[in-house]
Amino acid sequence: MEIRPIFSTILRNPVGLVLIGLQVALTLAIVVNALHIIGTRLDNMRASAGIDENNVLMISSTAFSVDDKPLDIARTDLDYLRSLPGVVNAMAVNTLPMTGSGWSTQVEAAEDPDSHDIATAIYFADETLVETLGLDLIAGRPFRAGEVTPFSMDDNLRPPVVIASAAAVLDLFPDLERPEDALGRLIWNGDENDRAASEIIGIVDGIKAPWRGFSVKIFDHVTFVPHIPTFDKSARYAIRSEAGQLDKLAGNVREQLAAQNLRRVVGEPRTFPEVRERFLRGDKSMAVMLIAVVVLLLLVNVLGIVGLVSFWVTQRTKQIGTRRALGATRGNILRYFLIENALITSVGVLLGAVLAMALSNWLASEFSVHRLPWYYLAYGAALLNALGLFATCLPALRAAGIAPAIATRSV
Amino acid sequence: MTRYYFWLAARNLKNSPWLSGLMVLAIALGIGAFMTSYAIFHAMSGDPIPHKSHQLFSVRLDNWDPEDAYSEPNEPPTQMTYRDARYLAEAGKARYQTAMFRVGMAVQPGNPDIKPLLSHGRMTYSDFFAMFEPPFLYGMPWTRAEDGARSTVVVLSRAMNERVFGGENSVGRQLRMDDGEYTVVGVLDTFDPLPRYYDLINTDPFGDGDDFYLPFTLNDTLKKRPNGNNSCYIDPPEDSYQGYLDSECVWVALWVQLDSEAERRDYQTFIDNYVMEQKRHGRFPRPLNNRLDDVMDWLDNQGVVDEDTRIQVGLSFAFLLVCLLNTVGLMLARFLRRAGEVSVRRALGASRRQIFQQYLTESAVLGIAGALVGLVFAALGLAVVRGLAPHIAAVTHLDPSLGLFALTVSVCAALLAGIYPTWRACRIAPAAQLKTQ
Repeated sequence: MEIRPIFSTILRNPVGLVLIGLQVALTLAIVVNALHIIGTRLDNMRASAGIDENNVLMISSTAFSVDDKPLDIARTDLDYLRSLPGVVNAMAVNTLPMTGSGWSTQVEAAEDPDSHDIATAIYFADETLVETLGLDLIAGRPFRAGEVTPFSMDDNLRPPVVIASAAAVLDLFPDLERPEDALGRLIWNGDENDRAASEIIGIVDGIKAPWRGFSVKIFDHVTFVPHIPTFDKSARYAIRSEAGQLDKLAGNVREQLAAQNLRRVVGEPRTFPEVRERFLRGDKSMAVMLIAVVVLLLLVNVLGIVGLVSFWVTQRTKQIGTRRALGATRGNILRYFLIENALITSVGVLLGAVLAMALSNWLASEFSVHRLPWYYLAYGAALLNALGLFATCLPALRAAGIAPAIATRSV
Repeated sequence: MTRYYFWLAARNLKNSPWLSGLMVLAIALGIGAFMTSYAIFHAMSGDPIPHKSHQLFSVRLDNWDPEDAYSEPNEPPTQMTYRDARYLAEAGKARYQTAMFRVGMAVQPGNPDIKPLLSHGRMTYSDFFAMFEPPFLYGMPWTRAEDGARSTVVVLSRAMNERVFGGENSVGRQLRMDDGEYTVVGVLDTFDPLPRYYDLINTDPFGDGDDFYLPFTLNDTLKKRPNGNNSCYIDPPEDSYQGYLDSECVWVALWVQLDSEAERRDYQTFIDNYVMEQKRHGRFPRPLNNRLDDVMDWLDNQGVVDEDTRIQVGLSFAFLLVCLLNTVGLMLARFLRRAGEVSVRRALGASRRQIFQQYLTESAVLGIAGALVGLVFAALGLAVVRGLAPHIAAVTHLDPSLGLFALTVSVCAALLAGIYPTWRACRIAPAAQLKTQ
């Protein structure tokens, strides 16, 4: 109906079109890409480590000398820790999920000639692993005490049996429908010249690696090996407290452990919630920064539209008065501005969609960011259109209120 | 006349406080967001040793898997094998050179009131101190002769000296670490290059440094494992410490100082010849791929400025652009609303040029106001960032040069935004405008 005159008005003075259109286009491009990154980061922050996160801590012990027999110290310490009140269980570990440091290696399916290798984190564990970490063992069995052997830094990794994460076995054996079916399968460990096969005896669900790979998929790939690790003179223990007792345990355990043996240094305990907070710190700060940018951007956008449309209303006061005098209703005036804005915003959104895809491609090629899913564009376009109409309403209502008598006055 | 324009600008801003406030706010938000992320970027991407960052080189040899590069695209390992690093460090072909790796040791202070502590230090050569120039509080580095003699000497960090010796001059004192007694020969003053360029692999580039430094050659008896990154593409030839030293596992860094382009070329030839020689013994299966990266190239290669920071700078710059578009629109509205005033001034004899100057001055005033408010926003933004990411706190602050930068960006941006509206204001035809009044 009124679209053609509106269109020709816009074209006669395209400055508004250019300004608001460009603003909307840039806003759309930034907002959808930022929202996409924010979404990824929020997903990251929700990830569960696959252990009893609220009740596990890690503590290290470093002996003064190798003559102090680190393995004996570790065994004595573990007996002591397991006897402490409020402790569910404890074992020697090399690292925990999300700590950012640890050991990874390549493994491949042993009986399949065209298997590809996958990267997996290696976690050392003993027969108490399910109880100490609070793992979700979905098939098979934990290690048996007899299977657990000491491991020093001079040894090569040749575990006869392993417990693997469900995601790792599904990636290793693409023929499997359920991870449980990987029980009894063999995986290669070690380099090409010196291979050893390990039998999968247990499948754990949801456990995470110490770090998140982007190009190399590793976060869900975990392999537990049945060894008590002593690295040089150091040992690390994971301790699981009874529910709600973690802070109390963390407060006392260092002193208690240190008192057991004076020829060593006991490190500061790190509770898993602290580990997790540290691991996710970057994601959190990125999410907060980008949310701030998105909110401010939308705010600036609204303010800009309000400002410009207000100006137009002032500039066109006379015309509006004339139209009203010639019989246009308030609704007609309001609609005029709304349609005008919707047209301009739509042009901006179209341009913005192209810009958004270009920005997304650039981000994906330069950074560890995935391509933008199309629905972000749809939501973003709807959001900007709605905001544009909302912003136009404020000055347009003022325009609709202009009295027809205005037309007869000189200004 | 300029002063008069400033006065006019200030008066006009006051006359329409709402619109002026909106414009200043738009510029300030853009500047605030951009400066927050730019300050972090600036701090992270600085040159940690400006007077010799072109003379210090990280050395890499490509001893990796013939099938797969250490990392794509065809990058050699970030560190070296023990045997290569040691050979090259002791060959002495550069002016200064050092091999180094991080270790953890149990320090047992002589004073029984001070509890033993786990500390992290660096096994390195005496050239470390000549190359990276850490300031000494007491004493001095050990000498090359002491490297050769495997002297049991130690240089402590300032923090370690405070912890163990209460901060007094401990030169000549003994310190027990693990199984050995070491003589303190030097204590460093605060040594926090940002980023910690000489070890990006095993330390947080913006975190704490080493507690102590020991002669690398002492490792012949200490037989330490690295407390840091270790990567192997193939298992060691035998299960023993010697097997580890002889293996293709990479865990030792090598840095050299080369003072001229000629020295750099000679050193490149030297390491290439070394690798060719090793190839005859069946090592180094990959094509020749040895690298010398100076400090800034190395920081770039290792991505010290993390992706998040770079994305934030980019997006906040785009945000600033949107704010500017916004300002253009608001200025247009503001200037054209004053068409009457322009016409009167023109009718009274002001030239277009003078109108142009007047309105650009007004844009500049907006830019200055935007920058000032924007810097307040940036300070708030940085306070939030510090709360979120404490390790960045160490490196981020708004110094005068950043403030000046913000002011420049803001004023330039405001002038840029003001050009079109000003041009439109100048084009107002006074006669037509005045007639309609």
